[in-house]
Amino acid sequence: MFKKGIFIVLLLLLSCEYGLEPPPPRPPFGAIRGYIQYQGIWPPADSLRDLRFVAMRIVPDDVSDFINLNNIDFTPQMLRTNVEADTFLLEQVPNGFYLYNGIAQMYGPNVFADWRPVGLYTDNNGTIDLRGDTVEIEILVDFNNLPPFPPQ
Amino acid sequence: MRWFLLHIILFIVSAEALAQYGISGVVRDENSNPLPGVNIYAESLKQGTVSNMEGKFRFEVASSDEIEVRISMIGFKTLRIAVIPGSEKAKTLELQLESITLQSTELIVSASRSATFSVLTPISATTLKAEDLQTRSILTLDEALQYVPGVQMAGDQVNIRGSSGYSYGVGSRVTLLIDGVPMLGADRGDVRFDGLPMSQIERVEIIKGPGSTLYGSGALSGVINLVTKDFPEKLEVTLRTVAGAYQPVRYQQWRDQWDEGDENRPLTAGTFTIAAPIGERAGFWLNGVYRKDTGWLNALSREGGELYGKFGWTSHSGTNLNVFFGLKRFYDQRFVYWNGLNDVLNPGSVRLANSESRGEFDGFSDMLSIAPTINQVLGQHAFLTIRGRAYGVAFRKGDSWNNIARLEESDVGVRYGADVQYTWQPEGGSELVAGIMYDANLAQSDYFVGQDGVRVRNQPEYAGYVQWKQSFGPRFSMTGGLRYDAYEIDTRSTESRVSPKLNLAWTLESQTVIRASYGAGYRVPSVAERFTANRNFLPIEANLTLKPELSQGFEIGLKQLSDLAGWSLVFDLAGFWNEYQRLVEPRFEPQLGAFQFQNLTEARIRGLELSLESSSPSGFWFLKTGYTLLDTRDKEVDMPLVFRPKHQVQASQLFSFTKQLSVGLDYRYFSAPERMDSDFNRFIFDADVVVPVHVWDGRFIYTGRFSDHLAFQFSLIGRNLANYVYIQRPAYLAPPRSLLLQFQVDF
Repeated sequence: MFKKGIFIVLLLLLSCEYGLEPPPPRPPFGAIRGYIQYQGIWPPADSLRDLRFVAMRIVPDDVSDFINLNNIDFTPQMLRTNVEADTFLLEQVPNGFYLYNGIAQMYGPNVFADWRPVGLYTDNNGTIDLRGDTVEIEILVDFNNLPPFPPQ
Repeated sequence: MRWFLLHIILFIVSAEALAQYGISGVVRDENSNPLPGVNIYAESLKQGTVSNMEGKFRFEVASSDEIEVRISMIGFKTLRIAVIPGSEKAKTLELQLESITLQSTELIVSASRSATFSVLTPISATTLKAEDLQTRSILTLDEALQYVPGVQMAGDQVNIRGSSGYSYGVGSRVTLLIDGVPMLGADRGDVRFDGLPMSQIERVEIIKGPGSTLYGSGALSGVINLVTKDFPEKLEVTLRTVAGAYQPVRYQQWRDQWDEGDENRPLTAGTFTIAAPIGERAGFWLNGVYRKDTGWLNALSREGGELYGKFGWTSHSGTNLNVFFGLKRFYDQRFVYWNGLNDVLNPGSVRLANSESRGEFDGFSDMLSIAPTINQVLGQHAFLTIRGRAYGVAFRKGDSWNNIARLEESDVGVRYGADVQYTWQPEGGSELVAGIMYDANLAQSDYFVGQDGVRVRNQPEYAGYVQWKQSFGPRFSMTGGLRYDAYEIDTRSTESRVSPKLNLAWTLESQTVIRASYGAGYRVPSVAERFTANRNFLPIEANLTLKPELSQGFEIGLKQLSDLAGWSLVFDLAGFWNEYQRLVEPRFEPQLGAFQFQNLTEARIRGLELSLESSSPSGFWFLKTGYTLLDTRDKEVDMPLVFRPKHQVQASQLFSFTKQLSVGLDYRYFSAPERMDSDFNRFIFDADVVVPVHVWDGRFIYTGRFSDHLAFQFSLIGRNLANYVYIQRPAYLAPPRSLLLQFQVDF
């Protein structure tokens, strides 16, 4: 009886899984691939001086956070304008959580101040969790219904 | 004249008819301890009574004919005797009941604020005894609670029947008492598991379910009461040393990322206890602890000392005074969250707009407590208890023992107050408990400074409560209670609450107790939840609008005690249903760029709990096991509550090969939580990673004597024997396998 008990205990001990394991090694950078759909009337060319996808580690308090380069990544070239849809690929993005992500329009001459969001990534509470892989996202830009800024 | 004669005749006849014949005496157990609550019942006359706290009873019957009296109590063999009421023998009965299980004589105080046999408590309650703690080398309460069915430790938070989940170390939904005195931190409203005299605990009582009717805020879902040891009849000295180490974690990939990851991490402790009587009416014990734990994670360690004492004195008139005190100072390195699943041994960081929060902090944690208690006997059936307390905790910055920040620059929480309780136990098993209490909760911290610039916050609380227990015949009892609490919220407003409770217990002939209970609970958010504005280890913003959490709990249960061919069995089945309103949970607020404690959730937790205790006839084998099934629901999102396991199993076995040699084995299992905190996951890498928990602990105990006056005990203790890798709470790796050697001598 006792030997059987010990045997069962040993069997249970040995048959246990090991639980948590380290993940497979992953690169320190990931990528964000995006599909943008545009709606509404495009703004005039003189207020469409630049258009980028921007991924931010922080939720911005004001426009100055758009130029806090420690906390943001953005597409290297200006996105196409006056199209119904577009795609982009942002590579070599450091792994981490990006809390505020979307399309930013530069509407005036001041590169440090004249920026506003025109469409935001909203799935997953708006957060992109980058872990060395490529994350695919979709963004809707409605020029007739721009997102509030600073965020509510 | 005829009328006068008629009256005389009627008087004589009625006097004869009303003649009463007494039956009285005392009931004790095998060890001559008085047994309260025993039913003494004359079935043929349908008359009887219940023994009082001294085991004494008395009732009268109208006939002097010989009758059979049944003496019964759950957990004891029923005794039947023939008595002639009114005879000398019937007035001085000395009765002894034989217990049928080891649990028959276990007492619980916290279930009703007066001593009750645990088998008779009308709510779910369990105990851990001194030997359970000592043989496992338990030095902190959180280590002890891991062995209790239905209880889960989430790091430094206790979770009874899924009530708490994990709430970042603030706002306990379970209250902690030492000898009935509340000991929750005044600042965080939390249980400090490491400032408690674990070597001098007689038993730990755990009440499962709302307990606010007796204990006010904090007892939203349970109560833990530490009952400290009394004084011995002669001088006793105990020395204990513990030495051991945590093994390096299982995977090289993790060890490579910390310079000390490949090392065994030592853990040492030493305790001394001296206890003695002082004359015939006084006594004391003193307990000192030194502990050094180098931890299994980078930036997790502690070293320091504790000193506890208790002094007691009883006057000729029966007045009893006890004074408990505690002192503690530790240097603490605290690990808050990891740096992701690929780097679990190092703390992580959170980078936000213009700040970076680190998943670690360090400093000196101090504690000072003093709790005097006076018991005054007021006649044969009543007594008065007056309890005072002052409980202070501080966290002080400092880089060495010679360089510690001043108290006024530190985080400090002080609770002080008193309560007065009146207990009346008339004949027949009834009991009245009533009391009033006041506590001040002062908290000082830079973290609590709001727009008003105030650095010291206070949440004083006052309450009045009453509870009445009534027996209806020998088998049925009912306990009802009501408590009114009022809290001043930083002098801005007062929150008040009335908490009722109703308990029913029905004892069947066959050693079975059926119970049903309803209780209300509530918890006032702590100063930390309301006022913390801090970005040191997580960005947190204050919320002055927090409301108290509310709960209502229902339970039905059945307890069966059996003695089958010498095998002792105690079986308990409970079904519970708890409803919660305004649960306070942290949520990330994008516009604040920080977490904030908010009244978020209405929730329901229901489930079943099954427990079994058994011992073999020879005492060779003892088993204590429990299974808890939880069905939790966050009603607002219609999903399971975060960080709650659906299934829990705890099992402890003890094999006693000889009087000297025994081996214990403990197992606990928690299924992986069905849901994790999505807000936390936004900042901490892999904070959503969970696995089921399978942990085996073992101990080998050898007890012997060097001489008549010198006993010793040697223990080899293994924790997490299978070196299973799991998390204790989100983003926090649980300890790997550790081995400890413990040697204790008793003079």
